[in-house]
Amino acid sequence: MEIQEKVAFDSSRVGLPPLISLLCLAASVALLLPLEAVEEALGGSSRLAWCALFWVAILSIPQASGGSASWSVGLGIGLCVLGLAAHLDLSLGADAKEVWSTGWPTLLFSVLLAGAASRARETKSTERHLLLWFVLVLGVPLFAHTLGQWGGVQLPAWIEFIASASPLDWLAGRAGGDEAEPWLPLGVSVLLFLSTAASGSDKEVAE
Amino acid sequence: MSALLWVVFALCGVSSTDGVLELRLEGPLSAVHLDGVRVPTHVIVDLAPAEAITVRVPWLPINPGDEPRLGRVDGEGSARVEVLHPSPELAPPSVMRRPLPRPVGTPPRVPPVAWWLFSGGLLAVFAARRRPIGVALVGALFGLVLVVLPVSAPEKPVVAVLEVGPFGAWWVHVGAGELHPPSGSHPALETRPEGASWEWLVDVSDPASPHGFARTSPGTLLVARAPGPAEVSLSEKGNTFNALQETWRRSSAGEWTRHGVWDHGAPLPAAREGGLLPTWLRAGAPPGAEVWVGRLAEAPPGAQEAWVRLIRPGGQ
Repeated sequence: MEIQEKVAFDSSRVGLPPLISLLCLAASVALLLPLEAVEEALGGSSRLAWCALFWVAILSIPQASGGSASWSVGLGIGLCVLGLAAHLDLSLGADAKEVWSTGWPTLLFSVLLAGAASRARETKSTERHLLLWFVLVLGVPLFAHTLGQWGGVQLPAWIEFIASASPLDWLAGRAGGDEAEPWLPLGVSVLLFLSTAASGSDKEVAE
Repeated sequence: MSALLWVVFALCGVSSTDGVLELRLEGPLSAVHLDGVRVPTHVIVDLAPAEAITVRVPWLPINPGDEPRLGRVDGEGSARVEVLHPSPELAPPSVMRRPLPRPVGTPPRVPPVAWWLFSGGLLAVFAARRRPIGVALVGALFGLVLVVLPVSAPEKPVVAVLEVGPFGAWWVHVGAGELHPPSGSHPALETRPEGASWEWLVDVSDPASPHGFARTSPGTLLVARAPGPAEVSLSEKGNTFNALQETWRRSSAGEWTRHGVWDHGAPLPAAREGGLLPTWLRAGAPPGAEVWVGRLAEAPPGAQEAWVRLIRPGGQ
């Protein structure tokens, strides 16, 4: 009986990558193909930044606690795509330093945010992670962008500050040619990771 | 045996114009560098000891304020100038005035080897999916290999245009960074931007077929001109020149029509819609002139894209 439970546990961990990461793979590859529509839309902007925006967004999504999808496979695929995108940026004439300045924060965002989402699924911190992710990573930045850029509304400074702390906002800025420092978004990524780590310790103590 | 340097140029009576140079080379020798020329000129040879040849440097851009002479010899052998011939015919001013071709680089592509590596990376990630840490490390490893894979710089094609008019026919080759001009041409006549530095290399490793090529920075255009075929005729009756992939015609009234593919010997196809003619080909014709523009199905050696532009002034 014990052996059967062990087998069932292992097979649940050997899942396929989440469907959304396969869709993200298709979208990323389309960005790297020499398509006329892509050339016209993106011009000379960094393909690495665009792919990183996709993958960091996908990997940071809160995961269902009962799901069998293997998000680590998604991370592995994402790292391959980011390598290919960096190669294309270098072929486009981008400076290696410039590619590196987008690459290393992207790597940390990917690992920290994917790690946070994965740990939140395995601990009792799912709700906390979901709230932090929605406010700091996706919700407020999207809200600010929608109202500020598309609606032309003058937003309070604190909303713009929160929006600027999002890794996704930083990557969107890099894709648009901004050269802001990544420290604040990195702080947010670390915060999300530590928040799930603290929950894990709480759970262990409770047990 | 120390290097033997001949710094004597025997042709005092020759004026300082472009010329064709004959050199007597004795091995062992790997290169000869010339002084007194407008651009750094190097002759590349591959001579064994006791081997001697006389080679012809196809074109020598002589400095108007100086005299050409041997500057340096790489190797134990020797070199000496035998004779300097006057340069071949210069391109007529009408050819020089026509708008130059514009090589447009194709956007960089991910090379096939990178796509293969990427596919291998995806397979490896799926193969390692049982180990969460391992799968991330495999992805990171393939990502790293893709980043450090040597990149290929975007390449601009060498564009050639056969300029046809009352002066005859002249090939004009334009390339960025490096140009292997047709024989008998004058690559120094123009660079874009004008006055950019470049160098002229003449490879005579195979004495039977010496060839020169010009080299400059990737952003600089090099221009070479050479006499073209004796007769080029394009008219409504027929194409006696060459097969054309695309054809445009401007009537003396100034109306452009596109005629598509035009086979050798065939009458002019009917006009059709669509197609974009590069702006540099549209420009340069005086009002009232009849213009024929075509893209050649096969480019001449040294070019990846070739056009013909026939401008027939009004009344001819």
